[in-house]
Parts: sequence; structure tokens; C-alpha cells
Amino acid sequence: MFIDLFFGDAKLKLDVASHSKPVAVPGDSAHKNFVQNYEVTIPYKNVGSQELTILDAWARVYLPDEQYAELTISHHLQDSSKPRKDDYFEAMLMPAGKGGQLVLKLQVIARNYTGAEDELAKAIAACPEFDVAVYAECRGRGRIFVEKDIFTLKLN
Amino acid sequence: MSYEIIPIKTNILTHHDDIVDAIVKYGGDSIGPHDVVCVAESVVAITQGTALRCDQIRPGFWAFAISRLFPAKGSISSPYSMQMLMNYSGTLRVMAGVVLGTLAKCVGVAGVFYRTAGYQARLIDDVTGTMPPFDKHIVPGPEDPVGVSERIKAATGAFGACVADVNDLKRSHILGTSTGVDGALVAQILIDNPFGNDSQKTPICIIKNYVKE
Repeated sequence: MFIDLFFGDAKLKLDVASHSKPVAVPGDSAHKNFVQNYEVTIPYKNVGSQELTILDAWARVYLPDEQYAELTISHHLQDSSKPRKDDYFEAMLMPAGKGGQLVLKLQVIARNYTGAEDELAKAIAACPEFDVAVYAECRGRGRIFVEKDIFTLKLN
Repeated sequence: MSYEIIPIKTNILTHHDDIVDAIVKYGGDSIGPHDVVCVAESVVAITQGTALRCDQIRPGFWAFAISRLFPAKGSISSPYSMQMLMNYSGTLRVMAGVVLGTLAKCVGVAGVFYRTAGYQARLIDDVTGTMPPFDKHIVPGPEDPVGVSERIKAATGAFGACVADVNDLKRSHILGTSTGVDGALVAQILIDNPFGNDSQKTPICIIKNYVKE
């Protein structure tokens, strides 16, 4: 809209390119033989001239069975400033020029676990690179919009 | 004179709940015939089903244009919340409020827009203004707060009831009361916001012995 030309609007920039390294984090020791947790940090910044509202953010992991069926990867996305135990993303404000970090939490489960200790490690080692899409539904002073970015992840 | 105020904790109330039933369910045992039941306005609106997500609102040209005239921190600074206000008050009334408000500001009088643009102008809460799961919703003020208060009074057997808009900044405003309740006095009693930081956790407060035995 022409008004944006005069006043500007909010704009979200997700910085996925240089930050797609997953970090293994300790999980429940009782499940360590078949569950491994990872975190991926995704910096973002409001590069627009107006305050940004991130209404919602979510991710999509593109690792279908056709590509690799040894692991199940569940995930949820949250802001590092608002850690939650559930899979809910709480809407938040981001002033112009400021930024933060999204944290993608991945739980990798060996799907065909039979009890062998190194089964999960082997399945992760054999896992191919896969894409992850991050979406953020945003609002500035204009229409709501969805910002999307894709990065490639390698677990091992 | 001091009053005992009892906050009542409830589950998160949604549009699937009836506010009167919820008050009876969670606070019924604590409510006596000399008490006044106070309920937070945003929760009344939520139970009335009037809270909307942005994608349920279609802002028009004037909502985009006029919302830009308000500071970003304001609740009607987005086209979505502005459109909600226009849906309630009418676009012409909101535009008249803008004109009158601007003229009044030129001569040093503030707040004219909010007095002119309708009941909802100062009540609409934009997104992030309410706790999850309504953080993504725009929440208007409640409809018929007097009627709601009368229903609460009838269902609970309390002396009276009211719908209150209170925050931590010592802003206390009563939107409607049942017969016999002094809104100004209740606003003063609630000035320290007994509903707490997030009124959805304790959306109900009981002023004990509002009328002395």
C-alpha cells in the first residue's frame, strides 16, 4: 500500500544461512539409546522501520520416509526469550532494528530400535542432509505476512 | 474504609464458556449476599466470542490509512484493530473522532478521539495484549456489561456485580454494574489490580461485605 512508501513497515529477516549447525543437547538418560535431542539457533532481526509483531512461528522438517526411514524427527520452534515446555509460540513484539533468536528443538528417535547401544548413533551417522523450513507469521503496520526461509541440516 | 478482596482462580476461559456459569462454578462458595462480584472485562469479551484473530478481520482502505495516525504502541495502531473499531463504531464516526481529536489536540485538549470514536475505542486490546491462547487475538471490550452484571448478580445471589477494566498502572474503570453498586467506589477499591498481572488467571474478584451487615 502507498502508505508504506511514506512510513515504512516492519520486515523480518531470518538469518538461517550461517547458523544451521545442530547442537546435541542432553535428554532423558533413560532414553539415550534411542532418543537424541538437538537444538538449532536461528537469529532474526526486524530490519524494517516499524515495530514487528511475530504472531506465530513454526518449522517443517523435510525428511520423508522415501528419503530415510530409520529416524523419526519431531520438532518445535520457540523464541529463546520465551522458553516454553509446550509447542506453543507466544506472540511477541520486536522493535525496529532489534532482533532475537529462534530455537528449533529437534527430537530424533531411532524408529527401528532393537536394543543395541550404538543403533541410534549409526542411524544418525547414516542420515542424509535434509531441508528445514522456518515460517514466521508477522504483522507490522500493514497486512499480516509470512516470512519463510529454508536451510539444510546435517545431524552428524 | 477497607474491603477484603478475594481473587478467584479459574481455568483459562474461552468462547466455549459462559462467564456466569464460570463464576458460579469457581467462586460460588465464596460469594455471600453482601458481596460484589467483579469480573475482568477482557475475559467477559472472550467468553462472548468477540475476540478475533487478524485473519478473521478484513481491513479496508480507511483502516490502513487511519491506523497509521496512531503511535505504534497504541492498541488501534494496526489496520486490523482499527477495522475492528470501525466495525463496532462505524467508519464515519471513527473518522469524525480523528478530525475532532486532531483539532482538540491543536488547542491542547487530549483524549477527544477516545471519547468521540465510540465505546470500543479505548477498550480494544491488540495482539500480545492478552495471555495465551488469546495472545494472537484482538480483544474488544465486552458487550452489554450492565446486562452481564445483572446476570451474575441473579445467578450468585450476591449484592451486586460489575465488569471492570483494571491494570497495574493504577487505571481502574468500571464498564457496567448491576443495580445498587457504585461504580466509582468499586473502581477505587480495585485500584491496586487484585486481578493480578494477567487477569485471565484470576479473572474474578469478590469484594467481601461491600454492604456492611
